[in-house]
Amino acid sequence: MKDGGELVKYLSLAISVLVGLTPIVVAFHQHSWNLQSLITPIYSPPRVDYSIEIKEAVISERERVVQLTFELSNLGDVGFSVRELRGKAVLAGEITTPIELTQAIDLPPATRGTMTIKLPLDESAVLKLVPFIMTKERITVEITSSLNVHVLSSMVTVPFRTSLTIESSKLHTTDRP
Amino acid sequence: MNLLHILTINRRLNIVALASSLLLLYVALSEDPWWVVTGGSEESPTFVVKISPFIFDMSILEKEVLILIIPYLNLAAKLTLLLTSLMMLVGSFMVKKRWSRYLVSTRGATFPIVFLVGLFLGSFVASSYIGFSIPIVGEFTVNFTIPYGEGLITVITPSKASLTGMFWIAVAVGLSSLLGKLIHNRSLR
Repeated sequence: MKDGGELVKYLSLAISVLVGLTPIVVAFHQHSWNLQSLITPIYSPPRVDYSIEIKEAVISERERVVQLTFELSNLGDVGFSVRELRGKAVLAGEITTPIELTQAIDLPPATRGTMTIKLPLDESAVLKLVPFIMTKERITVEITSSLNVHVLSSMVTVPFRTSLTIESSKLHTTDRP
Repeated sequence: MNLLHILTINRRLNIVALASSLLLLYVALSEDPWWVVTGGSEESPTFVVKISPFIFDMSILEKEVLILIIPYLNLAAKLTLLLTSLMMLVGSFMVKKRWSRYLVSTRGATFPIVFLVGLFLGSFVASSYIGFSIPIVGEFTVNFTIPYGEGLITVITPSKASLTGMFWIAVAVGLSSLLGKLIHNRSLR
């Protein structure tokens, strides 16, 4: 050990090992030497939930469209926005129409908004539908679709199927008093 | 006067090792990540992973993911690099002492290498759990489905992984510590 080389060598090695290992030993000691608890990820996912409720149904013979207005509530912890709706609706069990979302809806957590869906009708559909409204007390609407929802910056496609029964008296017409 | 004498001021001070020790100190104390993975946009990411040997920050849907041992490993890495930096600092002033060769080490260079190897291994292991592979650098799409009633919920998240500027600074510092060690060994002959 001419110039203390060996001493420096082993001392620096010992300190390095001590410095590197001490936090790990402390970790094990603080968690009762339970490796499983130390390496298992801990994660509580936020709640992602919503509710949807029909508010209004309107038919416009002139524009040949049925407009359904829903109240959409964000019951979760993460905001989302509904961007698109793809699918079809069946009115009164026999009139099939495409469906479209009138506009995108942004819903921060614990908020509610209005989602309006348009069901465009061709002339033959209008001709079938009007007698139904006149003669039946209720009219059924079956929607089979998928919602394109943005959750943060992920695009989520959610199946959206709903079956509504609208009383004919509540199915307002915009063209007649 | 040759280059070795210039770089050690006539065997009084190893300038490269000194610079390297100060840069190691900066790297060890920096809170900047070396590798970042962002799912979705940077303004409102669906998930974010920010990693360096000294920090670990992971969140999914704005909720943090914790792994209890990670802060201790980060602390061990930080203390090890701080010690390396301190030893290099002392060693750089002791060019004439033969024992100083034990103080001027190449440990600074091993950090980026071990980190990169760890990323490859971690990404490989993670892919077997999550069902898709995460590149070290590049864009990828996280695509998975969850059964929901009679249908499926499909989630698509365009994502991006990148090594940050701090990683490349650490690589440069590692190379400078290799050079400092080389100069030190030469000047001791």
